[in-house]
Amino acid sequence: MLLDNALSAFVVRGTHGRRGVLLVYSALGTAALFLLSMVVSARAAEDHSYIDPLALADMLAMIFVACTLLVVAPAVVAAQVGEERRAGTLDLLRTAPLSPTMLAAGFVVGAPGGVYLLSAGPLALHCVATVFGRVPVASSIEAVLILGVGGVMLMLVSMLASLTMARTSNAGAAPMMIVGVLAMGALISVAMVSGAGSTAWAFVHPAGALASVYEQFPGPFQDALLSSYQLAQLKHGSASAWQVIEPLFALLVYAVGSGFMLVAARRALAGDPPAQLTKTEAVGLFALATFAVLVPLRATQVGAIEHDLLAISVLSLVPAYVLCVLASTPSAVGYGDGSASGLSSRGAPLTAAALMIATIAFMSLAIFGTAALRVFHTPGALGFSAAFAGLALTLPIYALFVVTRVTTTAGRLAIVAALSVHFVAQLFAWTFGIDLAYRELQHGEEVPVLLAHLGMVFGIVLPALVAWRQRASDLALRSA
Amino acid sequence: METPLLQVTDLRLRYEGARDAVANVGFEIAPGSIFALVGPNGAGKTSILRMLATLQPPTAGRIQLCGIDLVNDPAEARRKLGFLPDNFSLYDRMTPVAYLEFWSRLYALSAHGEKARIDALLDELGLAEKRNALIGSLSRGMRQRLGLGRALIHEPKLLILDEPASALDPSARERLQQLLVRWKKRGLAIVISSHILPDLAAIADAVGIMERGRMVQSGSIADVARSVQGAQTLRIELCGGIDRARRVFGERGTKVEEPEPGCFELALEDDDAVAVLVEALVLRGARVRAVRPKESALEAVYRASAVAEVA
Repeated sequence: MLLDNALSAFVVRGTHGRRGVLLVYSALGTAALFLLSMVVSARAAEDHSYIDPLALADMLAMIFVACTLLVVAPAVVAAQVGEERRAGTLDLLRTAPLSPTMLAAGFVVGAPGGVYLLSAGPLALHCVATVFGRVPVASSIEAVLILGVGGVMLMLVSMLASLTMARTSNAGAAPMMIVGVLAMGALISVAMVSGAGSTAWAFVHPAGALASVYEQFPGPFQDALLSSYQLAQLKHGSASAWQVIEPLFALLVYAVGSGFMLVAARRALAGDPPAQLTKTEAVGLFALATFAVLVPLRATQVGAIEHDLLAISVLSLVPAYVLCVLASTPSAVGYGDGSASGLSSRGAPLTAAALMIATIAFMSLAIFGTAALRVFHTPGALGFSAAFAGLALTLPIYALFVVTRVTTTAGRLAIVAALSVHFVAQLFAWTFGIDLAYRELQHGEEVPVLLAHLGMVFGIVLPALVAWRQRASDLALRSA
Repeated sequence: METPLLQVTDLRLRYEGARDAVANVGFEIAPGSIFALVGPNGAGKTSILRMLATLQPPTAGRIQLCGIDLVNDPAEARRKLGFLPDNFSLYDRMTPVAYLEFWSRLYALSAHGEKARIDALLDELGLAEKRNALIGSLSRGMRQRLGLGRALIHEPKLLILDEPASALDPSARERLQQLLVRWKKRGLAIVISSHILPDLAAIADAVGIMERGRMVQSGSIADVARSVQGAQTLRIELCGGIDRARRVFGERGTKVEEPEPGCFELALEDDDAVAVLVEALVLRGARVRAVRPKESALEAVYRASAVAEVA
């Protein structure tokens, strides 16, 4: 009862009482899409080719719905939450007898109410196309599920981004950024779908997963996006299998990701201290990211050498790793206090960081099997892996150390200098490590080997120094 | 004694890495009474109000509203309280009716009750004529009243107001006072923080004086005034015989200040001393136009508490 009321309140507010008008617009827009499809179909017939007008209208309708639900709606949610936060009305909403989950649901369901109403006509058209056999029923269900679950996940991500930004920041900044990132992500993921080597990565944006659904059956979408060569490639081997798996895999990742995002958004909406994720959630989210990257990587045709795969995987996971560690550390002060450890939400990120690195190692072994172990037989690859581990374990520590402990200009300069040395050393280790991994050591290559080893040493010694300094600082704080 | 509607016990709030924003604060409020929280900026008033409004969980202590523990069951407690923060915002593109409908749905009021309640509130708040105007077009006073309507839409037992009159003109402040007194008579308990002490003195039954997170004085205004007695400054205004009055003050050795000719301010210990002094002035031919406290009892109490705290 309360949930119904709360959601209806948000929906009514989101549509500004213009539900009828928006539905009329939606119907008119859908009719226009259908007319346009008929015109294109007629033109094609003049050129002795055949385009089914209903299938084309369905494709256009789904592109419209994808744009509204996967790009515009998340931006609207971010804008609404940001504005409520800036104006202080979010605090008022928090005094209503709504749980944070209901409040989050209110924003997801209500804020883009107008967008949903505009999508109603095109979705009805999609149903008609399904009924008339232009879209297989299974594909239709997959498509709608991807739009729904993917849309919810993106809206929750946007809400979280808006809740994370400084309260006084421009409320328009978050939605603008979100529109840019999501639109770009949609274009890239749709482009990835058409390549046999990259189709497994289409899940990175729900638009890509939707495109992979539409690529699986003959129709205007397949004709428009794929050449006959690409189509033939996609019918082969793992790419073919992956095309079938992709939508389900994407749904799994979106659903689990939505769970994490909802938990974090609930906490932020409840007004708890500004930890976006607990340490446990951070490890869980990173495990999901690792799973989502490594599984399709197994099916990606990037070459026969296994350490290529591992190299790409760890590289692509670095940003996710750093974000997870930083988001799970509640605040500079909480970290600086140093009184809690392990996986406590107020503790230092070291344990969580180590768990995340262990997650990569475990999943690499589980997914790539012994190939992952063979990689480490080569000294260069070992150097590369050690360098990654050093960098990955220390990046968040550096970042947090800078924001919590270094208050003087000289101190900041010293940290920047140390970071620079570290990065340069790691760069050498990575470059030469990867290079040497491919072949036997040649005469006169002692210098690169030395630099690679130096990089590894820096990757261990510098973090150790920082950690030691951190510990001393913690102890001093505690005794004070 | 009447069962308190709100009981606050040993309330403490500490922000991470900072000193206590609120330390061991306790007070009670009965139904149909107004409790005023006063104190300088940063004294902890808003922190207390946010904890009462369930927006900020306390670090320690207990808050019970109608027997409900605010920390353990905030959702249930929110049905019994209404909160109007300082510098609040409304949705400018909505009408007052739509705004109140939105809020009544959030509180899950029945459709029939919702309409009746909204009509009654708009009438009482003097907003009936503006019911379909855009909120963005309303004056500051009207917006304030609409904010109050929002806080009262679900008929709470406790109304929490943070500086509700800070940006209002005198007539809007007077109207606000009238509304608060009316609601108080209907049994609503009100916690209010404000810097406008004369307004508070006119309506408050009890006061809590905050200083650096601690409640340095609390109780009924009369009780608190008695506890800091001697602090009250008297203002005597004359319309003739000013020199004679100066001589009386001189002869009696009374320390007076004369901020303007014919207007004397002096500290007196008790009511008898006031009577004796006024009698002496009249007997010596000074024409007394008015004798009144320089400030309200609440102002005197607040000033005395603040002075004591600094000392």
